[in-house]
Amino acid sequence: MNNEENNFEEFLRAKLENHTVKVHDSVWADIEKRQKKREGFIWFKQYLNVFFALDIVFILGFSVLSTLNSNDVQSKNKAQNFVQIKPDTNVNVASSPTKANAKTPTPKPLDKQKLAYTSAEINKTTTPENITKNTKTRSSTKDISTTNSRITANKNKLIPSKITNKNPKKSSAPTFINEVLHNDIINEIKSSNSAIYASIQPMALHPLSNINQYNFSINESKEVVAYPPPSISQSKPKKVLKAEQNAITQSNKAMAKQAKDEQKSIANKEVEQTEKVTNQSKMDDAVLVTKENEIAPLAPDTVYGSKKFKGYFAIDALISPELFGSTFNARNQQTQDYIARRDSAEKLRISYSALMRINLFINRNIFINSGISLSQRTEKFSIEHKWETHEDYIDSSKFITIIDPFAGNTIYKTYDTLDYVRTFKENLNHNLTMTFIDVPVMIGYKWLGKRAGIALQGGVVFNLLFKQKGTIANFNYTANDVSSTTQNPFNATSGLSLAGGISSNYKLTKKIDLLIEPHTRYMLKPINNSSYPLQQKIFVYGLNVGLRLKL
Amino acid sequence: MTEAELINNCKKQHAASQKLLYDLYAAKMLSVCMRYINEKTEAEDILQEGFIKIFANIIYFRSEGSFEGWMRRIIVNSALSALRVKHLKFADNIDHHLNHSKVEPIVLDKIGAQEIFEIIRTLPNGYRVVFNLFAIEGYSHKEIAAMLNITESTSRTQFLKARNALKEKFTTKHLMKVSNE
Repeated sequence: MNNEENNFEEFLRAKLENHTVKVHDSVWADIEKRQKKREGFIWFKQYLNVFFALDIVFILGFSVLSTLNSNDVQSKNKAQNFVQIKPDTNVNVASSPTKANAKTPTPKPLDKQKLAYTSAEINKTTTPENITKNTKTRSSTKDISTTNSRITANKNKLIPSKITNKNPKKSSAPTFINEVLHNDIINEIKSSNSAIYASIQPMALHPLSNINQYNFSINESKEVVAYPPPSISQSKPKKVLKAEQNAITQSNKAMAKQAKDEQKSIANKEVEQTEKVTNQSKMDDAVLVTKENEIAPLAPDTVYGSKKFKGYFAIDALISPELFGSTFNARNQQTQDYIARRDSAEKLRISYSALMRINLFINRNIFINSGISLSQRTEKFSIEHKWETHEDYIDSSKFITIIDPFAGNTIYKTYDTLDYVRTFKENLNHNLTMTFIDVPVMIGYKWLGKRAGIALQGGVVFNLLFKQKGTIANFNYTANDVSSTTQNPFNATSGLSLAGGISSNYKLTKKIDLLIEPHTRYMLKPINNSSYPLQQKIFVYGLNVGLRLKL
Repeated sequence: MTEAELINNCKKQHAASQKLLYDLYAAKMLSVCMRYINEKTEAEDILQEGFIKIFANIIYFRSEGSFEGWMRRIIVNSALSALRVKHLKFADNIDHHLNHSKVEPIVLDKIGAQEIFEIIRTLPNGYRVVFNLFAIEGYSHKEIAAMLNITESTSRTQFLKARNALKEKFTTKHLMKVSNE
């Protein structure tokens, strides 16, 4: 009997195996249309993670570039090697600023081999007013004007040929230093230019010399010249004096020429920076002196604007209504059917989250933040579950006879049977509340406006705690209470998520900003046990609204 | 192009290969659909849905079994999902009993595939689905019970009734043919 039945089924199977029905042409057209739509969606879904990764890379890239730029500015400033000498330092110098120098006061590093400062360098930020003020600060008992007049007299008397300034109205160059500052100048020159000091030292050590009698001048040929007083000059043999003077003159000339060539070549390159420095030259109390191999602080005037940016902290308090969805991965046919039914039963899922975080603004554009977030998500739907029972009864009221249709004889006589099918229906309610406590770590890049700003941020979210409460309509159509550990199919933590969003802020007060942030989050790991046949991942779209308090 | 190449191209979402695959199997798969769903337009919708699933999931096909069998399973599942939405009923029909009917081999020999197909389509929904799943697709009663959310005994009963009904229908058909001749 069994063989016959099997043959019957095999016969049908064989007959139907290659049976075909003509398909209408519109079916493929519809498939093609849907394929195109699906491709777009799949692309978005599959590359969502890539988007986030790119987002992070983009932000990190900006961060690195920004840091490099910052370093670049700093290194340029180092190269300029400015040293700010406060008003109470020992150097007070003035000379006649030439037209060119007044326009572009080029900062220039000093070569140790040089025997002269250039007046251009020294005059970058120095004005006659500054000198007067500085001198008063340094030596209140002596007025520079008197000293200047005395020195000027000396100059005219001793070396009229060296004085090349033809415009005494503009300045008193060559400028001489009053006696109180004399030693300081010597020390300064000694420390910064040993060659100059070397040329001065023999004169200073002369038994008849009086250091106060030396006159220092900085003339327009950019030379610092130390002239011995007449008494010393006269006490030396003429040959020695002549040789010394020739040596000094030749040396100064060579240095002046070299300095002039260098200045010309550098001038063009540094026009932009010197403009910035020109603005800065309004600082009345500072005199800039170039000095090699000293690390100068970052010039206050940088690419970031007139003020130097200082990092600061800010605290954000945000709440967010959210829409969330789930992606399912079925591991068997039964769960596949369950997903299909669940998808049709489950409509909108709404959740909320609250977030407290602290931001560190590293520079005007880049910030990092981290904090703690509490979110609650509720899944609520109902699946209709149907089943049936069968009961066979002998129907004694009906006696049936089965006759062979070919032979015509009676095959079988029996009472009929009744198969009662009872159909049952119940609604399986799924009401699950999931609570997450997470730590987001984000990095962002911010664009600033006057009152408002916008930022792009991305990062990861670490889950600390994942709690569930309620009843789930399980894939095998049973209602399970998740508070029972044996029926709970969820992991203890939801693992790592990728998060990103756009943050916009509007300045309400000096300290407080309003924040509005559309954001998204995608869980990388399923929230279910690995042994559970249904693997669920959650993605969230939300809108953070809150306030930022700048600390 | 071999089947393996065709599958590989479809895995790469190559549109021409997808069309080729569709042309090769659509007619056969529509036959499968129509054994579950009586309405042709509805069956075509199922076919469309099934092919979308095939193209989406072909990357998971590991070439370990028959590709046609794999496709057929997807089509059958799509059809069953549609039937579930329509709340498939397995109501009892007291006209069909659980005894065993016999069909003479001569009857079967003279029945063509199209006739068998048409006769199967005349069966009540519950009978037809269970019969198709068990006899044609080769699922066990346990699997059918899980798929249709029914008990195993229901699956067995429905199958037996379907088989008996079919045998009777075949015999009747044959007799009608003979009498016409």
